[in-house]
Amino acid sequence: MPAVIEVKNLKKSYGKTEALRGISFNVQKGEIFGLLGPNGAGKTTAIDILAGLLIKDSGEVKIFGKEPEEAKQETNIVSSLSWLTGIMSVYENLKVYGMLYGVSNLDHKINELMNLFEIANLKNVRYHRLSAGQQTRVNLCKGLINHPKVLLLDECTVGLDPHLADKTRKIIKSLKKDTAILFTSHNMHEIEQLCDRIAFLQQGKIIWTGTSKKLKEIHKKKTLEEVFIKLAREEHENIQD
Amino acid sequence: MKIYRINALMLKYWYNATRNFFRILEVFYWPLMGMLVWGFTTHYISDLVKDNSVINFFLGGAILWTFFIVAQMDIGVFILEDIWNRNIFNLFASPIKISELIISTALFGLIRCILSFIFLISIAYLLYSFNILEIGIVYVSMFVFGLILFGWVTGIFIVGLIFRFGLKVQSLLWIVGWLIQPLSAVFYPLSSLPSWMQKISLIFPTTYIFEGMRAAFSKNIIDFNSLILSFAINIILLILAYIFFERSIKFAKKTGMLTKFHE
Repeated sequence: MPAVIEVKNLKKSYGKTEALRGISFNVQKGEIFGLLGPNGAGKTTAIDILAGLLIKDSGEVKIFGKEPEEAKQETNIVSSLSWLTGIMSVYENLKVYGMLYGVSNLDHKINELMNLFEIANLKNVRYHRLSAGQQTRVNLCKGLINHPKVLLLDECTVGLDPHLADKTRKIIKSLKKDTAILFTSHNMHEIEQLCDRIAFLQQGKIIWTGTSKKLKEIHKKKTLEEVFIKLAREEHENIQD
Repeated sequence: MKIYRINALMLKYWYNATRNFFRILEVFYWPLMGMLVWGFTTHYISDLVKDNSVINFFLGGAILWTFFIVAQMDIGVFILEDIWNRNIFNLFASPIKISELIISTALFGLIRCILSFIFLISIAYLLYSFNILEIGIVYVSMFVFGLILFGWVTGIFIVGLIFRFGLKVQSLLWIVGWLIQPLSAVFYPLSSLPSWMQKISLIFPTTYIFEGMRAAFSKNIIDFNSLILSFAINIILLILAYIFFERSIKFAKKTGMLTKFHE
């Protein structure tokens, strides 16, 4: 079965700064693939290219065999860095995005998502009046409004309390049957719990791809967090040398 | 192009425009201020020179100029609001096409222009007994349409510049109108300008419209050739502005400017 997301030798620079230095990975339907790495490793750049928000310098990026720009109808993104329209209510924001994706039976879909993320009581509250955690949940509703077949989640659980973060992880896991999910987070526990495979990015290069279990074995560490710290410190020392 | 996506954006602009008191005020405030300042100034001047035609030229100019400003500002501000709200990221990640974005802002701006127009002609009639429709509703509509078109041209061009150079150039949206106004011969005939400025003025479709308005008021004639020329310039500039905007979006995606707006 061909991969839903195919990335081959992807390169992207901002001026003289090389953000991605030829990364390759695939994500299958029914798989959650984690992009892991320290700040500035290139995770968000990769996700933004897949979302059609950035144009690559070279390499190949395909979603269902199409360019990201042509696959936007089947894709959606949730990023901790982006907001919805502050002056509009939760319902209004979701309605506009549902219409943009041409979602049928939209009111039913919005209610279903608001119930799922426990924000039905916030339906008529303006987005800018919500707490960070509530905004994150609305962003997640927006990310699922079109029932995407490709879901790009860039630190999407930021600001959630442990109960809601756990619930969100369960929701994300339940979605993966029909979806290819690309996931980034600085919460290693979350990555371990959710991701079937991970790619460890360092200075724009993937230095390792596989399961988190295998990564822990190789580095002889008990947790992914310990592996992360070890690799990040090695990188820091290499830069200083 | 999908109608449902244009509808979605227009609904969003409706929510934005009706939730914000100042956005509602804009539709009436600037036209009213222009009308009051020019109306009383004009009355004073016409009393001095004992010539009522002055009223037609100044008030006609003030009313028509509003359409250019409102159309230009709407294209710009609706897109800028998404940047200010850090929502531009989600918008461009959706399947929205550039043509749909432009058409929806232009159409919504058109509705606001019509509201401003009704308000302005009512105020002008009530305060100064001035009726711009006297020169004919068809001709006035042609003038208005030409000015709205040029408002869209400059709005699209300025937003294109913002996607290229970032928010540091956003003030252009409020500045450019004032730069174009003296060159468009809004309140005086083209012949009043120095000859080198007249050559520049002829690039702007607005110049032909205001010259046409004055001819309609003073000689009761409509110079269709000038109007057609104005329309042709508008269409060429609109195509160029659209191409520039499209390339600016591509440039913003290439340089990362689009994703930097939310940082």
